[in-house]
Formats: sequence, C-alpha cells, structure tokens
Amino acid sequence: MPTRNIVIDPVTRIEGHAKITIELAEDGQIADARFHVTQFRGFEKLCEGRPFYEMPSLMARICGICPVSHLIASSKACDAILAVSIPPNAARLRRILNLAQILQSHALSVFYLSSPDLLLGMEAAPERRNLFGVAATEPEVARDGIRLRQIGQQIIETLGGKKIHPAWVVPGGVSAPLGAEKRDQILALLPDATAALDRTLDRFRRVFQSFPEEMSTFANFPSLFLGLTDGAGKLEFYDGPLRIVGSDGEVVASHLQPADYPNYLGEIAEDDSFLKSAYYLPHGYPDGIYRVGPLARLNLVMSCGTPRADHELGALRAMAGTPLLSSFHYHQARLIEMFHCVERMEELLNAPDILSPHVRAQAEPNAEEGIGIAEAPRGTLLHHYKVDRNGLITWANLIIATGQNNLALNRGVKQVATYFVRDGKLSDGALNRVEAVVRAFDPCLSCSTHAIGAMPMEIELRGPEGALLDRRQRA
Amino acid sequence: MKPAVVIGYGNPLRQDDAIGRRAAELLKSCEAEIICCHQLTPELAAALAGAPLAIFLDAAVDQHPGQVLSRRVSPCHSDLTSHHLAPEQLLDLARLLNGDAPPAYLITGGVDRTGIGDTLTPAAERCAARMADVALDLLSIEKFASHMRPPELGYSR
Repeated sequence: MPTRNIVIDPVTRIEGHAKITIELAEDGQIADARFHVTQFRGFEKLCEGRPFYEMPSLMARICGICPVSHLIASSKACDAILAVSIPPNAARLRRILNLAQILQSHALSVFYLSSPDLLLGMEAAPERRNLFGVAATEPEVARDGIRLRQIGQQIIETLGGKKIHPAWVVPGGVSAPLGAEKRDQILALLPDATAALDRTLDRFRRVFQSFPEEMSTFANFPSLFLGLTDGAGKLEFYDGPLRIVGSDGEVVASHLQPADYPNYLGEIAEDDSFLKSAYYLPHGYPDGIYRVGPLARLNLVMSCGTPRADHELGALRAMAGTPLLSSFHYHQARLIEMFHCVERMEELLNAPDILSPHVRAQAEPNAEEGIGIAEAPRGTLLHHYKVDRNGLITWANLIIATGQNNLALNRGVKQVATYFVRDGKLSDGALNRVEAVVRAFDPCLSCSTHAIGAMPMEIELRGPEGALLDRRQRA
Repeated sequence: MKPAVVIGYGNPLRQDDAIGRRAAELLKSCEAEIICCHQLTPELAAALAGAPLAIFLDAAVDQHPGQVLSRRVSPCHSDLTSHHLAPEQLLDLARLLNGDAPPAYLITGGVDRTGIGDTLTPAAERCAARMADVALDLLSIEKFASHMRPPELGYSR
C-alpha cells in the first residue's frame, strides 16, 4: 500500500507537458511509478465535420516538431479515401520529406534534449544541464547538433516551402514536382551532414560507454517491438507491412497490414493520463507491451540498407547484443538512423525519375474509410478516418508513437526509480535520471517543446495525511 | 564580408504580433540578410556567425501601441524557462558557439491587437514601416562605420 508520493511536475526537456508520480511504500521502497500526460488536445473530435482533404494540413498542426509525420500519415489515409495509388515519384518525394524530418527531430532529441545529460553528466548542476551548458563545454558538439537540425529543416523548407507545417503533401501525392535547382541545393547540404555525424558518432561512442548503470536500468526489460519493414529486412519509414519481434529476436508477427490494425492493436485509456496506451491484442493488456521508434526499428531489421548506418549498427550490436532491450540505446539508434536518413536521401535524390512532373493522382472520394501509416521519428504513426458520402469526416482515430510506448515508459520510470531513488531520498541526480529515461523515448506529447530545458520544477513529498515531508524546488 | 542580419519574428496568425516580421519584409531590398520567423530558436545562432550587426524586430504588448523603441542588446545568460529564446540569450548562444556575438539592437513596436487573424491592423502596418526606418538608419550607420574601419588584413599589403 503506497503511503507517500513523489511528484515530478513538469518533466523537463521533453516535447509537451507531463508529470511523474513515484509512490513510496511504508519501508521507503518504490511501490509504483507513473508517467502522466497532463494536456488534452482533442484533434480526433475537433476534425469531425471537416472535409477530408483538409485533414493533412489540419492534422499537421498537432505538432511543431513532427508535423511532417502527421502530414504524411494523414495524406496516406486520404489516398485510401480517394482509392488511388499515388505516382511513384510522389511517394519518393514524400519519403525524402519524411527522412529530412527524422533527421531534424532526432537532432533535437539527441543534442538539445539529451546531450546535456550525456555530455555534462546526470549529476551536473540543473542550471547547466541544457543546450547552453553543452555549448559552453563542448561547442563543436553543440554546433554540429544545431547544424544537423538546421539541415533537416532546410530540406523540409526547400521541398515543402516552410520549415514547420508545410502544406506540400496532399491527398493523392504532393502539390508540386521537384526542380533540378532545388534537388541540387538539397544534395549540396548532405556532405555537411555526414561530416557532422562522423564527428558526433566519434564523440558519443566514448560517451555512451560511461553510462553502464543507465544502460542496465533505463527501461531494460523484455518487450515486443513493432514497426514498418520493407519486406526484405531493411529499414523502412514510409510504407510496407508491420512486423513484430519479441525480446529474443524471433518474429512474432509479420506482414501485418496497417488497414487491419484493429485486429491486432488494442488501446486503453487510464484514469491518470490523457495519453492512451496501445498493446498487442493477442497478448492482452498489459502483457502485450511493445516499443516503437528507433530502438524497435533497429530490432526489426537485418540491416539498415545503407553502408554507414550499417557499419554503426554492426558496432552497436557487437557492443550491446541483439535485440537491444535497454531503452538507453534509443540514443545510439537515433544517431544511426540519422546516418541512414542522409544516405537514403542522397539515393532518392539521385534516382532517375526524381524530377518527374507526375506527382499527384486526382480523384473524388471513392471509399468511406481510410487508414494511413508512416514511421515518425518516435515510431509508428497511424491515422484512421471515416467520411460520409460528401467526404466530411465523421470519425477519426490517431495512434501515435508515444502512446504505443506508454506501457514501456511507465515500466521504465518505475525501474529507474526503484534503482536510483533509495529510502525515499530525493537526490537531484536520481530525479534527473527518472526524467532522463523518459527523454530516452523522446516522447512527443504535443506541439510544445521545452528544447532549452530547465523549466521550473517543484517536487513535494507528502505523508498519508497530506503533511509535507520534503520539498525540492528548481527555479 | 558577411552582411548585417535582420531577424523579424512573431506569430503571423496572431494579428499584430507579426509586426516584426512585417518590418523585416520591408527591408528585403537592403544589403542585409533578412530572416522572418515565428520565434527565436538556437538554429539562428549560426546565422549570426561573422555578422557585423544584428537587428531584432519584435512586437511589444507592454509599450504604447504604435510606439517604436530601439535599444542595444548584449549577450546574457539568463534563466531558460520558456519555449523560445530572447535576443540576449540567442546572442549568448552565438557567443558560445562562434566565439563572438555581433553588436545588436532590438527594435520593438507597441501593439494591442494580438487575437486570431492573419493580417496586421492599419496602425500596426504604419508602425512596422517606422520600425523598418529605424532599422534602416542602424544599417546605414553600420555600413558607414565599416567603411571607416582599417582593413582587417593590415596596411602592409
């Protein structure tokens, strides 16, 4: 029976607003720990009655960090409502946009949000644990991180017209083809990204080795892993069937069609969070716990399919084994995916038909329901819409990556709290590690971002009668 | 030589909050790098590298509507508690990353209409033009001053 709560509110350096409650038992040991999302968005309801073709732009407004993911998943759901197969070059261009977004979003996660913990240390003074602290200590790393994010955003702007919330991806394809000048502009950015990633990998390889305790306790447990695959065992971010592997690396399910998701994915709402939890239906709740995102994607594939990323994946697997069970490895997985994004964009931009003007299929609504799926930076993203005969939305459901990681997030918070919070004592390092395990998943809770870090935080320890036992405040 | 950098920022979907962006747009024919954005973010530190001058253009709800104020801003590491950077914080980040930060000014235009809307009020349009005039004066002074400086590589060449 829990007798005291430690509340971390808000959790800092994540996308959105959340808090953590740690429940202590009589003996001071951890009874439970919960990650609560404290904001409510309601996009699924507010879009009802809107024309389906507005959905991509409307849904992109969910987030300022990963709007492209929503744009793509939404457009794919609308493609299904149109019942069209989009031109191959439209799919190619959408892929490039998605890869650019993964590059910039991963740069944000690794450099802006988590590098203060990794480079300055989990015990570093809170006022230094932010991007400015990194810039003061390791300016080259900070410069590379900022440059990588800038390159991703610049590619999005070159293709879509805007860094954030581009409207270029539309039902049926994209609104305009790529010109040679823009293609060359994008290609010219990629060597710079590769050089920055080379330096980053070189630095972080050594950094990761200095966190053995975190590697063994940061959401390190068996679970399922889910994501898109290309059917040939390589990384895939845009299309294809879903695959699920277990913690022993064995395939649990493959060739799962996104449109059949209600048959294998369940969702449940809990009283203490606005974030739904998803689980693998055949295993039930909560045994159907699974993870998505960079760690899961690397666990699903034989190889990335591009040379530099494969080299780094091989090194990571040699060090940590396969499949990767510790969520601490999300950080390394992100860096590997960033390499892959740069390599894959180069391949796609050099494709013979990349300048083809055929980039959009035109049609009226031909189906009353559409499901679209894509790999967002944080994991698999699914949009499901139903429309009436006039093409107006009557129902929508979104399954976002963070919801699919929610069970693992909660279990990870408890694992870290159990290991690092001892006898009810609140050291700042322990507190930060509880937050850091959340950051490893890079949850995206809304379009808000606390990229600069160090938000005000107050933690109160209260007894069963509500008496204040301990309090720590971060100004 | 890299030109001066002018950054106009604000939300174009909140009426006169976009006054800084509008003022920056009015300067597009100047010899300066003009950047229009929603808010100040760390990526802008790279744009400030090597710039001889930076001018920030922003809306201010705490000054009289239509009033234009200009002040010098310097790098300052203050508490980081919000979703965006202040000009002083961005300059500080530029200093840390680039080894130096340019001399900089913040020009603010007073506004009181920041509801939902994607156009400026006529009063804000006029105010944006005056903000652009002030920025133009600063750019002219900087350009004149740069011609008066001795060549960086010295006279021996």
